[in-house]
Amino acid sequence: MAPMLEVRDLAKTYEMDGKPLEVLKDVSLSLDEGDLVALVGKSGSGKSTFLHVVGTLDSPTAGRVFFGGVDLFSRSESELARFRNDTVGFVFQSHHLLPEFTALENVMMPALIRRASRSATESRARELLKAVGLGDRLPHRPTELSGGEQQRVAIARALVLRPNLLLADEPTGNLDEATGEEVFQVLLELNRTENISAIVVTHSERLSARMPRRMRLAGGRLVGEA
Amino acid sequence: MTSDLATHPSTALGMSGQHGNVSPTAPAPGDSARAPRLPAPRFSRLAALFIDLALLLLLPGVSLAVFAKPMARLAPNPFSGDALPPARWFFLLLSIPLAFQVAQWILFAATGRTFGAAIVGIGWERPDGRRPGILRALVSRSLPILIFGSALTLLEPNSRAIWVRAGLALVVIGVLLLDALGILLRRRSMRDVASGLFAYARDLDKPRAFEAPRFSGRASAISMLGVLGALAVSSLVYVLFSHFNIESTSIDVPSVAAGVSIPLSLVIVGALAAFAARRFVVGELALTALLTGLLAYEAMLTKVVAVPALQAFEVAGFLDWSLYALSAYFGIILCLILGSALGFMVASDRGADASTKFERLVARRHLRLKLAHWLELAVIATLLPIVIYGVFIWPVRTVWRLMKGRRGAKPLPPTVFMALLTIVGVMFGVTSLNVVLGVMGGFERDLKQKILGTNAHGVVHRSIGDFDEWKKVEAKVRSVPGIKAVSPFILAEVMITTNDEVAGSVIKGIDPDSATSVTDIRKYIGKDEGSLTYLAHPELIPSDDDLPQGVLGGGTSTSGGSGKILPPPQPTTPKPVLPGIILGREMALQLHVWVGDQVTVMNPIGDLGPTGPVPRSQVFRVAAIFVSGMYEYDSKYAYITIPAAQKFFRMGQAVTGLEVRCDNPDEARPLMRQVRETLGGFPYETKDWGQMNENLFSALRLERVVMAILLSFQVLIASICVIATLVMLVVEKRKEVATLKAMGAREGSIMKLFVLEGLIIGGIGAFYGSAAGFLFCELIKKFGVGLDPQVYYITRLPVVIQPASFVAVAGIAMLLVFVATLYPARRGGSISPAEGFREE
Ligand SMILES: Nc1ncnc2c1ncn2[C@@H]1O[C@H](COP(=O)(O)OP(=O)(O)OP(=O)(O)O)[C@@H](O)[C@H]1O
Ligand SMILES: [Mg+2]
Repeated sequence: MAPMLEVRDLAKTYEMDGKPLEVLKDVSLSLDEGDLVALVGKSGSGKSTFLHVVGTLDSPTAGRVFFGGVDLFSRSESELARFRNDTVGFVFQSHHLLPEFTALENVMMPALIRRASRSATESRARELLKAVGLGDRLPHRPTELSGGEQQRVAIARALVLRPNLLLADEPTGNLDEATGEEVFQVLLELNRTENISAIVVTHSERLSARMPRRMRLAGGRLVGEA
Repeated sequence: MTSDLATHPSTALGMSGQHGNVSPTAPAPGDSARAPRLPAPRFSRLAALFIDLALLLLLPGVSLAVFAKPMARLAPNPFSGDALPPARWFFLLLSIPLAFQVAQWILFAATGRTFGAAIVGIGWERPDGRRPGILRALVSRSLPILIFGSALTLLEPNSRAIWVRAGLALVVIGVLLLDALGILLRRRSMRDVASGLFAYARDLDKPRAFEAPRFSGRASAISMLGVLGALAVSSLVYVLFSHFNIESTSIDVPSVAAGVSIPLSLVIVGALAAFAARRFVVGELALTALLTGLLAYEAMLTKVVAVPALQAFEVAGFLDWSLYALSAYFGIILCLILGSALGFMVASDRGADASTKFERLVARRHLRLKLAHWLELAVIATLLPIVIYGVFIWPVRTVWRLMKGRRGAKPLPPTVFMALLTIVGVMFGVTSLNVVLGVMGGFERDLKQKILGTNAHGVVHRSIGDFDEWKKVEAKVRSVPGIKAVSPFILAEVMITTNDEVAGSVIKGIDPDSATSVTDIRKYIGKDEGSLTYLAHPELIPSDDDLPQGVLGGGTSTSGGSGKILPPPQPTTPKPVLPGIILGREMALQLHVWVGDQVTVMNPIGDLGPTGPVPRSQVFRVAAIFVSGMYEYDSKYAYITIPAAQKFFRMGQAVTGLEVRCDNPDEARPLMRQVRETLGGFPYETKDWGQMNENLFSALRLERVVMAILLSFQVLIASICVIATLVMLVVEKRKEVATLKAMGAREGSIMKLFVLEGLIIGGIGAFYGSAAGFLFCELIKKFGVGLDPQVYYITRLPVVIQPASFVAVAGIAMLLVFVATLYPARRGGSISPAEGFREE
């Protein structure tokens, strides 16, 4: 059976002042359902770029990304939008919470985009926020939350629709050890119970060591299991 | 970790690089940047396509216009006497554009190009090899031809005009030569063009991620056929409605239904096209518009020159006609674009998605709107007494509150402030439009009332012969249901004189008893200004009994050649009984007469004497003065009794016609038609009050339309503010758009969101504007704005509050705002996540 996610010969080149900057050169990867991958690499090695391309937020310069056998970048914009909504959960390195909305509403947003009913969504969002330790911060806006709190809201938001694939960019980067551990436990738990696959970028050796698969990005290539 | 599939076809994705170039072969990954590839075709293929289709369509028309005349001289007009058989003549005409085209091809072949590329190559590139852009290219290519063509249609077809036409044709040929020169000077090789063309043809309609297909054949076919279909549907609707014969009094139901069906079906067509392409199909619609426009234009051009009947357009009303055509054309485009925008916003790959739930939520939050504010708004609007507070004080305080920021957090972004300003702009526009339309509607209503007061609701005439049998006709007319009263009348133009004044007048013989049931004449006679009863009983008229002789003497002396009717002064009778006459106040003032005074009525075409017509005159005594409030009536009209008029004009028993009053004046038109039918048509003719005063009402309506258009500019400017606000908003929310898209919001959904934001802004403005306009109108009504009655002939500014007009104004404002939102919303929708996140 074909893998759930397959990345083939992916290359991404940015043009800076007319000079090409090859961030990703030849990245291939396949991921099955329930796989949990740690992605490590030096700052600027292209981890975030990789996640963006896999999540169809950016287009590759060359190469393909298949999901469930479908060549993603041959699809129309609105099909990709649906793919992101149904299948992918993002945790961005800089959170990207919507400033006009409360923590609860931010978490509910993907479901609202899907046009799910508010009431059903709300209970799920409350649950998730409680799970990441923010049960009492529901009506707060992002500006009224600390960086770590924002990050946890972002994690709850990524999980609200039970995605098949979680793309998390340093989800514990701003958290102290104890809280980071808690969030990490939530991830592991979800991976176990709901069979969510995830690619998690992390700088923490301690956390990556506990993940079943590890990859390192260096020189624009994935250099095996770290 | 490498893929288990060893090989796969070329990795070419047919997808964009940074510049949207289409590379026929994809370079191997890794060395993409340095790999030598075909230089990107540096021209806008679409522009080229448009231009050349335009040329292909225009040239026949243009050449036909140029050569039709000399041709016709060569071979006489096929529509009349024909030296050449029509078919030959037609082919001859066809050969001209063909020759034109072939000449063009030869031109390009001579410069070393193949035909296909030559057609596309025309006019899109400047000698320095830089791309002129679609607009520039279009303008530079089509403008001379369009101007030329338009000039042609305006020319009168005479011999000198042919030279002008020939000159203009030279201009066009000159443009073509210049193009050829430009292409000659161009250094780029032919192969670039060809390869670019092939790549383009191959990629048509191929879906690409992040970059929607540039051109959808399906969508353009739908829109093109749809436009024709809409026209077909409208005629179908017309036939259907005429068939079912729905009765209506004031509107022509089939025409209106057909008229409404066109924009509706065009909107649907636009939506279908967007659905087919899952895109906001601007390019395809532009193509459709261009082609249909050119077709129509060419049809017009050709016909204007070739068909004598249509040459009337050249002489009379051509401007009007072309203005109508132009606005209809823009209407078609607008409807298509509106439909396409709606379709795109609704089309998702799961089918239709018309929900705006989450978009509303985000839009409201962007604009910092809360339910509480809406409730506040609603309460204020419904309670009239505090509308003043609501319109003038509350917004100021709300703005103030909002500007200071909420919960001590940071102040509002500038876009919210702009949004508020825009609301005020829309509000002013809507307010003034409403007030002005209310006042003008008031004038119209006033006029209508006055016309209905002095005039009957309808008249019955006899087109030939004397109307002797009017008593029988009167009975018949009275029997028609819906007719309230009938009264005979006599109408003639006379001069009324006193000792030293003279005035032209329309004298009307009436039957004092029945006339009051047909017109409001009784109401117009003031308390101390005589009475209608004096008309029938002139002996009751109070007069200065001391001076009957003197006045009478004066009266007779003015009348010069005294007629036979004039009763000779009888010194034995102290007070001769003169027939009574009722004058309008303006005329009475002009003649310096009052109730009881005498005037002389002269019929300029009286008797035929040996030296031509001899005026006939008679002395009347003023029985009453009336004030209808219409200057035209008060200065012109005079009333006498029917017998007096019959005697004076020597009409025997005949009258001019019958005046009719209906139960409902708005039903007058169909009712009068019915009366005519009852009378058996010819020689009887009927007119209703609208027809009798056609000019007046159409002038008023025109004035109203012009005012509405002028004031709409204010709303237009406000909707430009909407554009500015939304553009800023889009820039401000780039990152959030990216976030929403990352969470799976569609492009159409984002567009919906910004459209909604614009509509909220416009909606609040329109709402406030309507409320303020209503308030203003009420105030004008209540307290009144005095007018100089000498100038306006009414004492107070009339105002009428018509809900329909308020709704229409708000609707127009919303429509304009909606159109204004499209561009920024489209921009907002097309922000890609990668772009949006790049900001930081
Ligand atoms: N839009 C862009 N335009 C040009 N260069 C870019 C763009 N986005 C990223 N880069 C460059 O690509 C490289 C990789 O960036 P990326 O954000 O993927 O790194 P990263 O591995 O996530 O680093 P970090 O661990 O610091 O988050 C960087 O050198 C960056 O400057
Ligand atoms: Mg990063």
